[in-house]
Amino acid sequence: MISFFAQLWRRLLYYRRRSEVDADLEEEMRFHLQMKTEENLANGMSAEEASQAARRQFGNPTWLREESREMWSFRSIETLLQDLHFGLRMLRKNPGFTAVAVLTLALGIGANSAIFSLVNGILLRPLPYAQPDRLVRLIQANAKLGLDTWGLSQADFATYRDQSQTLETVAAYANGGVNLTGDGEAERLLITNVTADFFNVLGINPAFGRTFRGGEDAPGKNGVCVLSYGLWQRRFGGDPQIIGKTLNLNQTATEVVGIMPAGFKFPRVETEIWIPLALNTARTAPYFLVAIARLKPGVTDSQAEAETTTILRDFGRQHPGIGESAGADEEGTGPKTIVKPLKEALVGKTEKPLLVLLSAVGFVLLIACANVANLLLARATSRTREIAVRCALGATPSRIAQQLLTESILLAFIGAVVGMALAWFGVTMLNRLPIEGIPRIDEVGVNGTVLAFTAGVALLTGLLFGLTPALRAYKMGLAGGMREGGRGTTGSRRMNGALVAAQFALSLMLLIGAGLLFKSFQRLESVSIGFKPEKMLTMITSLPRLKYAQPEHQLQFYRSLIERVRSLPGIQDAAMITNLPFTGTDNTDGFNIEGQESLTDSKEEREQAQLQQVTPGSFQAMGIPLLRGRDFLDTDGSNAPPVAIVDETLARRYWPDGDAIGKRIETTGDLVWLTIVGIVGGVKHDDLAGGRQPHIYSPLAQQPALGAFLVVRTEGAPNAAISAIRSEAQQVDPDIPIYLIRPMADVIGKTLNSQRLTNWLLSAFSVLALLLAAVGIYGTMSVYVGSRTNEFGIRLALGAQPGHLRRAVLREGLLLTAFGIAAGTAGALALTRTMASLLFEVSATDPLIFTALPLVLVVVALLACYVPARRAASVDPMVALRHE
Amino acid sequence: MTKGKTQKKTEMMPGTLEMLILKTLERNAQPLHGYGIAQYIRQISQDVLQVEEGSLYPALQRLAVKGWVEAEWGMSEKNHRARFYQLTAAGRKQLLQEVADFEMVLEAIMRVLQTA
Repeated sequence: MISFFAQLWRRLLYYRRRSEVDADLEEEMRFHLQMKTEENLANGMSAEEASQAARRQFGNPTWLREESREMWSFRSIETLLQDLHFGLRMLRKNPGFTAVAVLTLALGIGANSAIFSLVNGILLRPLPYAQPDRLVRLIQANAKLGLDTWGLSQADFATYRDQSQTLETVAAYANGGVNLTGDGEAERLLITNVTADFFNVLGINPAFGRTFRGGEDAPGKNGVCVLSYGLWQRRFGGDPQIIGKTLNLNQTATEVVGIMPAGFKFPRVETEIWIPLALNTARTAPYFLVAIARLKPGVTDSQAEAETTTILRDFGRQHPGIGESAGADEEGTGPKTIVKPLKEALVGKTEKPLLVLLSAVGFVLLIACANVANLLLARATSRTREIAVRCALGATPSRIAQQLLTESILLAFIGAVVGMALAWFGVTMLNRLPIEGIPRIDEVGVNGTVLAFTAGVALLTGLLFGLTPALRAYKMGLAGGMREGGRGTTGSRRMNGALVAAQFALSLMLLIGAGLLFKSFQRLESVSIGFKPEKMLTMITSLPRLKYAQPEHQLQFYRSLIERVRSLPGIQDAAMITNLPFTGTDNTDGFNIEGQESLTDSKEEREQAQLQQVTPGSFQAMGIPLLRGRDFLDTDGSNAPPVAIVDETLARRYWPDGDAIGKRIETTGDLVWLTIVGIVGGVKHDDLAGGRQPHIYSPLAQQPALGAFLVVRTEGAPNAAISAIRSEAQQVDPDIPIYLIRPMADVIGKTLNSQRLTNWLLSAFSVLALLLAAVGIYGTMSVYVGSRTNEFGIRLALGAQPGHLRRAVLREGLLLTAFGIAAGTAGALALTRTMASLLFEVSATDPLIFTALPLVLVVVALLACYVPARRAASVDPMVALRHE
Repeated sequence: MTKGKTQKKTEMMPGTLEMLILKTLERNAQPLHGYGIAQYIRQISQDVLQVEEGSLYPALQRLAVKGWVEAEWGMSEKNHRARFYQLTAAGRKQLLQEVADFEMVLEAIMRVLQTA
C-alpha cells in the first residue's frame, strides 16, 4: 500500500516536471548513440556505417520515447480524457442523433429519478426520529369478531403502559380540532390529543420550551399545549415569549409550554397543536385511540407482539362483555395485539403502487435503452469505415471498443443531467399538487441519494446500450475491419429486430398494467355509495363547550342554522350529521339486539356499527332512501322515548325475514335501549372498495354533540351557495366559525387522489413507452428499407408491383410487432398477478384489456411502418441501381 | 499481420530485461549509465542475449517509477554528461524475488525438456 502511494507521488512529481524529464531522456539516448557510434568507429567502421549500425541496434527512438513516457503517465485517466474529448466531438458532429438520443435517455432516466425520489423519501429513508427502527404501532385485532384492525380504548392503553415489559414507552393519540379565540381572529385549528409520553416515544425534543410531563394527561391537569413551528410562525410571529402565555382554546385557558421543530409533523401534516388527553383509564370504550410504542433495546416485533397479546387476553378475561373478551380463552383466535414497525404502518399502503411505478419507469428506461442501442447500431454501420481506418493505423480492438463504450456512457450521463432537471421539475410540481393521503410526501425531494441513484442508473444505462455496438466494433477489429462494406449486415439487423420486438413487449406490459389500473379506477369512481354526493355541500360547525354547555343551546343553534339555510333560495334541504362519510371521521361501537343476545354475545359476530347523530331531514339532504318506517321528527326530543333508525345492511343481517321496526337495539358504550322507527338504505363510510358497514342513526336531540357537519342539498352548483350560508351562520352566532366548506363530490374525489396520481403517472409512462417503441420500429424499418434500396429497385425494374413491396415491408414490421405482442402478453400475464391487490372489481387477466391493447399496438406499429413502406414502394430503379 | 500487434522485439522472455538490469546494477559497485548497462549485458552473455538497446530506456523508466532504481546525472569516463543508475534497497529485494521466481520457472522448464 505504501509503495503504491510512493509510486503515485513519484508520478505526480514527474507530471510537474514533465518537459524536463523528457529532455533528460532525449539527452540520455543521444549519449547512448554517441557512445555506440564511437565504439563502432573504434572497431573500424566508416563514420556513416558506424552511426547507422548504432541506430539500427538502438531501435525506433520515437516509439521508445513514447513507451518511456507511458511508464510514468496515468495512462487510464489520460485515455479516458482523450476518449471523452473525442466522444464529445463525435456527438457535436451529429447534432440530430445526439438530440434524439439525449432526449430519449433524459425521459427514461428522469422518470426513474423522479419515481426513485418518491421511493426514497417515502419508503427507504428512516423516519426522522431517534432510533426509528424501535418505533412500532400497536394495533388490535380480533378474529372472533371478524375485525382485523381496531383502535384502543383508554383502558387498553393504560393496560399496555402499566404491564408491558417489552415496551420501553407507550403513547396514544387521537386527532381532533379546537377553536382558538381571543387575540385576533377566531380560528379553527387541527390538533392531536396525546398521552404524556407521546414525544418521548418518538424521541423528539422541542425547539423551545418543553414537551409534556408525566401526569399531565389527566383531567384537570391537561391545560397545557405544544405548538407546531408553522403555527408559531404564522399566528405568533415566531415570538419565543409565547411560552408561558395562555391561549383560549375551546374557551379553555391553555398554557403554551413548548414549540416543536419545523420538520415535526406527526401524526399528520395538518396538526398545529398537541394537547394532552384527559385520560380516564377506567373507560373500556370507545375505541378511539391510536397507540405507538418504543421497543426496549434488543426486543423484536414478534416478542413484543406475543407479550402484548397475552396482556390483551388477560385484560379481556377480566372484563367480560367487552370486545377484548370475545375468544380470550381460546387459542389461535380472539383478541390479538399486532406490533407493526411504525414506518410500515405509515407507508404500508403506498408501497405497492410505488413499486408498480418504479418497475414501470424501469421498463420505460429499458425501452429507451433499446432505442438508443438501435440508433447506435445504425450509426455503427456508417462508422464502419472510421473503425476500419483506425484498425489499420494500429488501434487495438479493445481500444476501439473502449472508445465506443466511453462515448455511450458519456451520452448516458448527458441524458442523466437533462433527466435530473426533468425529475427535479417533476418532483417540485408534485410537491405543489394538493395531494392528501400520501404519507411522508412532504419528505420527498431530490437529494444526494437520488443523485447517486441517477449516476448509477446512467452508468448502467450507458453500459447496457453501449455494449452491443462496442462488441460489434471489437469483433470487426479482430476481423480486420475492411471486410464489411458500408451496409448493415444480417447480424446487426437481427439484433435490431430483437430490440424492436423487446420494446413492443415491454410497452405492451406497461399498457396492460396501466389499462387494468385505469379500469379499476373507473369502477371505483362509479361505485354506488348509497347517497348522492352531487349538488351537496358540506361544512363543519363546532360549538365551544363553555358557551354551549347545555344540550338545549346546542340544539337551538343547529335548528336555527338549518332553518335559515333552508329558507335561502336555491337550497333544497339542509341537516346536521355528526359522522359524515369519507371525511375521515369515524365513530364505531358494538351493539346488542334485544332478544338476540345469544346471537350477538356468544359468537362470531359481535359487529361494529358506525354511529350517527342526525337532525330530522338528514336522509333527504344526503339522498339516502328511507325504505320503511319514518324519519326522525322534531318530537323525538330528549324527553321522548329514545329511538333509532338502522340501515338496510344491519336490518337485513339481524332480521333477515322479519321487520326491524319496533324492535330494540343498544350500543355497548351507552347500554340504553333504542326503539327502531325506520330503515334506510346502506352507505359506504370511508372505503370505496370496501363493503358497507352497518349504521345506527339517532336523533341529535337525544344524543347531543358539540360539533357536526352541516350538509346542504342545492339546486344548482354547490359552491354558489357558500357566501349566503356563511352570512346566515354569522347571524346565528358570529363567534362560531364554519369551515372546511367543500362539495361532497370533492370530498369523495379526494379519497381517490393517490390512486388518481398513480394512474395518471402510469398512463403517462405507458404512453411514453409506446411512443419510444414506435420511434424504434420506425427507425429500424427505415434502416431496413434503406439497406435494401437496390434490391427494391431491381425488383421494381423487373416489374414488381409497388403495392406488393409496400406490403412486404409492412409484413416485416408486423412480424416484429407480433413477436413483441406474444412476449408482452406472456410477460403481462405473469406480472399483473402481483398487481391484483391494487385492482377493484377487475381481474388481473381482464380479457378486454388483454385484447384491446395489443390491437392498439398493432395500429401504432402499422402507422410507424407506413412511411418506410411507402419509401420502399417509391424507390426509383435507376437511382437505386446507381447507388451501387 | 495477425491481430495488429507489431511493436516489441525484445527477443527475451517478458520481464527478463528488467531482471538483467537489476542484476547488472547489483554486480557493479558504482552506478552505471544506460550504455554501460547494455555493454555489460552483452559482454557477460557473450553476445547471446541480443537486446534492442533502446528498449533499455523504457525499462529503466519503469524501474524508476517502481522505486527500484535511482538515477543521477554525472560525468562519464570520457567527460560526457550521462545519467547514472543505482539499485535501491527495494530494488535489491525485488531482484532476489525475481531471480527466485525465474529459477523456479527455469527449473520447471528444464524438467519438462529432460523428461520429454
